[in-house]
Amino acid sequence: MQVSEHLDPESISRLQGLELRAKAIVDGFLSGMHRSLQRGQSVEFTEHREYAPGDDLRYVDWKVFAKTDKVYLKQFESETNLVCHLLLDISESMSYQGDLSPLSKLEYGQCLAAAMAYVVLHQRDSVSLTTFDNAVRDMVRESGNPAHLRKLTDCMQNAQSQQPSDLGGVFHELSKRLVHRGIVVVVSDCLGDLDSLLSGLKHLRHQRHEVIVLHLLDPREVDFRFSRSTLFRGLEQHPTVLAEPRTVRKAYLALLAEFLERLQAGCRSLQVDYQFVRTDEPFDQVLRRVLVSQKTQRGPR
Amino acid sequence: MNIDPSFILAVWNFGNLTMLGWLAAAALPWIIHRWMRRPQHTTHWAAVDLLQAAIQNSSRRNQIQQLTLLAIRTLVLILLVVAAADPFSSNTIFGSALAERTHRILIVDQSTSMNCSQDDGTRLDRAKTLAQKLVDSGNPGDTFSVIGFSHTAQNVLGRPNRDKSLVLAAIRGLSQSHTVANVSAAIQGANAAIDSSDKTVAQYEIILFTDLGRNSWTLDPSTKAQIDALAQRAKLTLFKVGDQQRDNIAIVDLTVEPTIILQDQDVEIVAQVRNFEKRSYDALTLELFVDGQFRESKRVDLSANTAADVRFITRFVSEGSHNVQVAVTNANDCQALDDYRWLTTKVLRQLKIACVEGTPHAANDLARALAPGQPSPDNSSIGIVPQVIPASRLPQLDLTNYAAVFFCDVADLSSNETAHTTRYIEQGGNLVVFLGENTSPVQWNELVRDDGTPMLPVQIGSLVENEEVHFDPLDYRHPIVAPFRGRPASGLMHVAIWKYFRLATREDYPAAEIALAIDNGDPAIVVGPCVLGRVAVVALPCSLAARTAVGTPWSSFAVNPSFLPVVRDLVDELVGTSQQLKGNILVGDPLVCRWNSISQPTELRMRMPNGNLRQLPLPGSEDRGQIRFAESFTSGIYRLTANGNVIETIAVNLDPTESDLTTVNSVTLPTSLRMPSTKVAQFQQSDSLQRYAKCLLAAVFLLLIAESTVAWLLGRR
Repeated sequence: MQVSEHLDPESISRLQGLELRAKAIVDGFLSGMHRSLQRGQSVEFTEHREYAPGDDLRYVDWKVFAKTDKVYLKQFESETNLVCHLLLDISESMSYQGDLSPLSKLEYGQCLAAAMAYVVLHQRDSVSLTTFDNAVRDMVRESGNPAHLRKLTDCMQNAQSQQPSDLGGVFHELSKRLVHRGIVVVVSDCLGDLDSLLSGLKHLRHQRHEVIVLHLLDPREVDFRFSRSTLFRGLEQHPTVLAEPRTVRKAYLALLAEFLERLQAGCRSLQVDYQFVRTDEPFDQVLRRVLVSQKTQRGPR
Repeated sequence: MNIDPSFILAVWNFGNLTMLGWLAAAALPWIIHRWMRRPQHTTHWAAVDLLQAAIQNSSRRNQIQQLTLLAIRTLVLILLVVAAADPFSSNTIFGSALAERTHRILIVDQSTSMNCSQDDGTRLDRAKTLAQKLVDSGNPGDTFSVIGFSHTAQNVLGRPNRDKSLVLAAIRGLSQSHTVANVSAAIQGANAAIDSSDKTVAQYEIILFTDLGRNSWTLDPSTKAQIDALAQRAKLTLFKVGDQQRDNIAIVDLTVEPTIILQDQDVEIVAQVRNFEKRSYDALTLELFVDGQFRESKRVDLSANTAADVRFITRFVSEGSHNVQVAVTNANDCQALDDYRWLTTKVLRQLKIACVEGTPHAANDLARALAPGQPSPDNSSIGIVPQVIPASRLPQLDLTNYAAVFFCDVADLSSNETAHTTRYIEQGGNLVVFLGENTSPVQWNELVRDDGTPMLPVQIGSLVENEEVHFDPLDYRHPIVAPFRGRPASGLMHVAIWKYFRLATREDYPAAEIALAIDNGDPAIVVGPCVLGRVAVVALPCSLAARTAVGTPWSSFAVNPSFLPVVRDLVDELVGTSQQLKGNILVGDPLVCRWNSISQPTELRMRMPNGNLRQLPLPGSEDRGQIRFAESFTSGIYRLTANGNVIETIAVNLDPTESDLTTVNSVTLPTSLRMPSTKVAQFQQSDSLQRYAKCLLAAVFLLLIAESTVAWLLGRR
């Protein structure tokens, strides 16, 4: 059975409990890797181990090789110096779930955030969680303890909001509150004032955080394929709209493309890692894209 | 001005519930549009800002497109309803306003073939029904003429008429004729109707209803030219009624042999029956009736498209006229009229022949030839009774007592004798002139009738005397010499001729026929018609009395064995044929009845085949002894009565060409003759109305294309 079959949203949606989902995602993800993408940022040597194909030659202990004619790699004492701040949008718009997706955007985002937390904790780094809509609703401080995952998942599972989002305002606030510089992972549908959002991101970047934006959209929001006349009940206090989808689809897709283009361009200019995620996309693909992108941007450690 | 809405509804075709219902159907697109606009699906939505902006961006264009589509669909329905309501029909206000005033000339074929039965009556019935429909659908201002045609054309309405009830009555009154359709007569009738029309008429339409029978519609170039010329004056339309091929059995000929019928002698009645069908007939029964009494029945098998002669042997026990009828009793075909045929026979106790001799004994050999074995036939004799009469008694002689008159070596005729003789011939008498040594060619050549035409069918030339020559039978084509074919022992070819008068046919006598010739090419016997009678000239004498310079007779003809049969054949050909012709004609031909002028009747009546009696005017002094009756339009027996007594019986039969019900192919007709469908509704609208109707249909078609295109474009989005 393919790994991706375990990690697609439909399979994950059958699992009960966010922690279990997170572990399933990460375990499946890691077992599919040929080698670890995680290289600790530690500097203190602990032991040697034999070279295995695929290992980075930069960590070969050439002195040992000269003496023994065997290839050993140097292993370092792991020292946590990375903090990952997970920012999960729990506004009402995140509760949307189209008929093609097994998970709502919020559920998908929770799985994704939990999986990332598990990955971070798995490599003995610290992770924090903040849920928000138009304000910060809950916050779990960073910790590297593996038991910390339970706190995080409990926090995420209890998160629910009927409020609209204010990404820009929340990011400004968090820029002041996140004292430890680290990686900020924003999980959101990014619907709202785009200029405010970019302004908030800019503030985070100003605080020297590395920022990853995981932009979640439901497949229906992406392709807008409705065949019949439809009454759209607006979330986040938006009005109800009656539309003939076939007649407005072209204009909608054009506007969506323009919005995404502006968002991507803004992220690029701020050196924010932007990842567009459809909620019917397998989780391992998303995780792989994120990690590969991080490796590309930050280089090997 | 107040207009009562009910009046508008009444005159326009929308004035009924059905049409109003259809009109309401035009609202369907709006209803469907509104129904489609109601939400059929509900969902929550996060990206409402984007959706609202998209709706705003596309709303104006969408609205225009939707309304355009809606308008097109509504218009299509409205136009279809309008088309169904037929507002341009001539019965509506629109139709009347748009239609131009038209003079419609309805020409209905009444010929025999139109009597053919079909599922819905006869062809004539169908033609009348179509014509009536066309009148019913005419515009209020239109005028009509109704012409029935067969061998002639008759405008039964007289002047063009607007009163539809009168026109319909005239159509209903058209009756079946037993004659042949004459297309030229119909064209002439149409031209006359146009000439008599009101000059304010905008256009003329001539509508022909006919079965396109091959015998009548196989048009010669002149008739086609007449049709083309008529098409310059009016729009020509032809409705073909009748099927392409119908079953028909017909008796196409009825003759009697010999043609001279004598009392108590066996005669042969020959009926020719023809099968015009593509299938065979077994055991067709033909029955012979004489004077209404059944005589004999015979059966015959007929293959497809074949004919057979059926012969009945009978005899007549009394002299006078007898009516013979042969009928097919089990044909069961579509045309019953031609299952019968009539024949009148004139049975004689004596056939008196006057042998007028210019010189003594000149007619002796002839008289012996006519009545061999009877040295001196008298009034008690039965059969041919020749009477030799000197030429000097000719003025006192009542020639009407004789079936034929032979002139034997008569020098010439005085003016009184000429008038006497020509009158006899013109009334149906038969004259045979044997030339001889006393004949004065110049005098004979100058004999003319009252109208200036020559009495003899030949120009008598000079005497020819030379070496022995013989007869040339000209392939035995003529009935007089036809019996000699294959009989060399009859002696005809051994007749020696040393001297004769050179005869030459005349250009002003085109109907003359050379029955027998001399082997150097000169005619020997020439026969020609003369009004009702016939005249024959023989270049030789009928006796041996005349001699050549070397002492030989002019010819050995009078003593040749062939002399007797030739003389008898001459009598048969002239007397028999003329009698049969006089008593048997085709429908439409005039009946000419002749009687003894000495007994002038005080009352003349014609009993028609249907039993009706028609009073006839008495003939004037110029026509004493004969009368012409032109209304022989029905087949059957016509009886002329004078003072209550039947004095002449004539059989009138159908033209057998009408029995062939095959129709012509329309491609052989002039292109100026339109042939629309037999559905009058498709034809009834005038050109202007048809133009509007076509525009309507074109608009619907274009709108349907536009609707499909717009719908497709919207569906792509």
